[in-house]
Amino acid sequence: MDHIEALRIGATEQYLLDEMPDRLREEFEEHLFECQECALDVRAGKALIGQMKKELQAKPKGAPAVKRRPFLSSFVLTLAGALAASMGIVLVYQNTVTLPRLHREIAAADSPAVLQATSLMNGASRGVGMPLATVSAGQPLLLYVDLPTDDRFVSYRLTFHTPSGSLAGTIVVSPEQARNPLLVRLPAHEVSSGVYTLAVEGVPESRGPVTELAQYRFQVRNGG
Amino acid sequence: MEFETFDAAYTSRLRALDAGTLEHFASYFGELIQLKLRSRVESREVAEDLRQETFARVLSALQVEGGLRHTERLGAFVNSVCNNVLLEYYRSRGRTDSLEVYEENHPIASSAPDALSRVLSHEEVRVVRRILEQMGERDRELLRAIFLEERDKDEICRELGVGREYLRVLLHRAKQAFRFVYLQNAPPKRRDRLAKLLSLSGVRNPVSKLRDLPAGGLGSKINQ
Repeated sequence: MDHIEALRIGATEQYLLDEMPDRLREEFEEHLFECQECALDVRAGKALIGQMKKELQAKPKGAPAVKRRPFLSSFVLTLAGALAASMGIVLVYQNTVTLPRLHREIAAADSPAVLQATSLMNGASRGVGMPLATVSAGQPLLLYVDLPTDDRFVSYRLTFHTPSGSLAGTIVVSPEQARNPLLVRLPAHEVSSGVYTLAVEGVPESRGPVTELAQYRFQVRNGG
Repeated sequence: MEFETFDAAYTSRLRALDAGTLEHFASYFGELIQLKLRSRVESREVAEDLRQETFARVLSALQVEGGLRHTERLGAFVNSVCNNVLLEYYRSRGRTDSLEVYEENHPIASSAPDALSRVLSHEEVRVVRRILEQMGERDRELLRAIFLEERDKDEICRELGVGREYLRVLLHRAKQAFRFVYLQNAPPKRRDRLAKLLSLSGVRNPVSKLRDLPAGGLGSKINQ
C-alpha cells in the first residue's frame, strides 16, 4: 500500500475503528511503520479518541437541549431578547471595526506596493525547515504553492488553518489552474503570527470522499 | 515536531544508544506497536511485554554488523521484528489457529491510554471539547455508543439512521480539526519518558538492557 492509496481508502479511520480486514490491516501496517505522515495521523487519531472518551464520559447522555418546551416559553423569550441584543452588538461592531478595517484594506490594495510571496513548494510537513513568511500590518499573505495533481480529481480544495486551529479560509482550484504553480492570497485580516497549515485535498468526480494530497506548514511573522 | 529522518545517522545514534534518539525511537514506534498489538493480544500486559521484546531485538540487531542493511527502512524492520515476536508468542501459547480465529476468541485489549501516551495539553483538550460541542447530538451519541459503550457499529448506525461510511467521515473530520493542534503541541524530548519505558521491563538503562539480554533473546522470558 502506498500513501495515496492509504489516503484514498481512509485507512487511518478504518484502522482506528478496527474495521480493516486482516490482509488490508497488515498491508497498511507495513506502510504505517514507514510513513511518518500516516503515523502522525494515526497517533493524532488515537489521542483524539482517547480524549473524546474522557469528555463523553464526563457528559452523560440525555443532556439538556433536546427537551421540548411549550411555544413562547420563558426560554424562548429570553432567547429572543438575547438575539436582539446580539444583533445590536453586531451592528455596532460592523460600523466601528469591520467597515473601517475593510476601508483600510481597500485603500492598501489600491496603493502601489512591493509584496513578497513565500514559496511552499519545498515545504511539505515532513521537512525540517519550515518556510517563514514575514508580513506587514494590513498586507495580505502571498504564497506560492505547487499542487500534486491527479487525473482522478475534478477540483482541488485548499484549506487554511490559523495557529489556533480554526479555519482561515478555503479555496477551490480547477485542474487547469492546478497545472501551474499557484500564487495564493490570504486576506490581511486573517493573518497573525504563528504556525499556519495549508491542507490540499483532491475532489473526485463522483461524490466520493475527498483525498488529502498534501499538508504544508509555514510560520507567519508580523513584521509590523 | 517529532519528524525524524530514519537514515544512517539516526541508526548510528540509535546504535550508540544516544538517549534522545532512544527516546524518540521508543515513543514513536512504541505507540505504533501498541496500536498494532491492541487487537492481537488479550491484555495490555502481554502487549507491553511484546513491545519491550521488539525493542530489545531491534536494538540488538543494530549492534551486529549488517543487522540492518537498509537504514532508511528502519520502520519496516521494526514492523517485521514485531511480527516475528508476535508469531513466537502465539506459538509459545500453543496456538496454531489463525489470527482470525484467535481474535474471535480474544476481544480487543484495553485501548485506554498506555504508559507511552503523552498527556494532552490544555489547548488540545480545549480543541477536543470544541469539536464535540460543534457536533450534533446524534454524532455525539454515535461516538458515545461506539467508544464508550462499545456497541455493535452496524446496530448503532442503523438505529441512528446513518451508514458506516458516515462514522469514518465523522472521525476523519474530527481528526483533521485536531491534527494541527496535536502537531503543534508535540512535547519536548524528556528523558524521564525513556526511563519509564525501560523501567517497564525492570531495566534501569539501555546499556544494561542490552547487556542483560539472554542468549536466546527475551523470547524465553515471554514464553514462561
